[in-house]
Amino acid sequence: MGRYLTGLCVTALGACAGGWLMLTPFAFGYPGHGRAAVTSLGTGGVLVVTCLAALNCWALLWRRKLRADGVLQVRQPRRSRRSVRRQAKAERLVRATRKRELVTAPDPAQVLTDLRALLTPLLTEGTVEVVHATPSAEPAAALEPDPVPVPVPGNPLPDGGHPRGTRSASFLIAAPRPREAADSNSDEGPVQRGAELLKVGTGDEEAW
Amino acid sequence: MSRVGMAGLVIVFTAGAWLIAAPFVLRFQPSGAHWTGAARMDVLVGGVLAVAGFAGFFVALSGRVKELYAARG
Repeated sequence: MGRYLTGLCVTALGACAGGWLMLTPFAFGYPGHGRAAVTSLGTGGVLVVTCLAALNCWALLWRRKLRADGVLQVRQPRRSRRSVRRQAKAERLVRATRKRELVTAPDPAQVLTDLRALLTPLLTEGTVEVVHATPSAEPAAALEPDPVPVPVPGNPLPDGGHPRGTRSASFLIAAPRPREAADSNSDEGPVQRGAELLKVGTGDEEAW
Repeated sequence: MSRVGMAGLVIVFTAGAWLIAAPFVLRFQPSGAHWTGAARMDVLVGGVLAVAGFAGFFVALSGRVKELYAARG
């Protein structure tokens, strides 16, 4: 504190002395363009300008120090206040959105269960339609057994590179293979087998 | 900012020293002659400014050093 006060006092004294030096030629009647008058005016002018600038600097430094120590409150400009309000509003919105998301976030297991309950009857009906719509045009070919897929060196997967297993859902959409068409005549139709496969598959997913 | 303030103190001291020396350098106070009013005024004001600037500079410098020691812990 003493440092800033000393700086302020000395620069204020210099400014006052400079003003006094600028007045002395007129106050004491120095010769108009004599060396004494020019020296007093020049030195006084330089002193006034320099000391006012230094006084301003010391004042700003002292205020900064007082704000850093918490003695003075930190003043914010208008634009900064507005931006702070906007920032707070945006943060409130983000916080509210996050909270809502967290509150209404569904349980994945519950979603799977609901989805299964919704889809099982629909898929079963769809399969029935597909089975009814597909005619068994070649009963003789349908009675032939499925050729065992043999991996070819160039193409290791026989069905166009996509392995179709019982876990894949594509078997519900595709037309039944000849063997399935043949099995449709038996007691346990593809509808029941599809439902069983679906249950097995979803059971595994639930375990996951 | 602090450097500008310190420079202001140095300029105060320099102006004071110049005011003390100006009557003799510019020869509007001949040596051995009776002192004129202008020379007396310049030396008086210059002396005050030089002492104040000198003291103020070192007080400000010591305060800065003290702050640095306090910041270092």
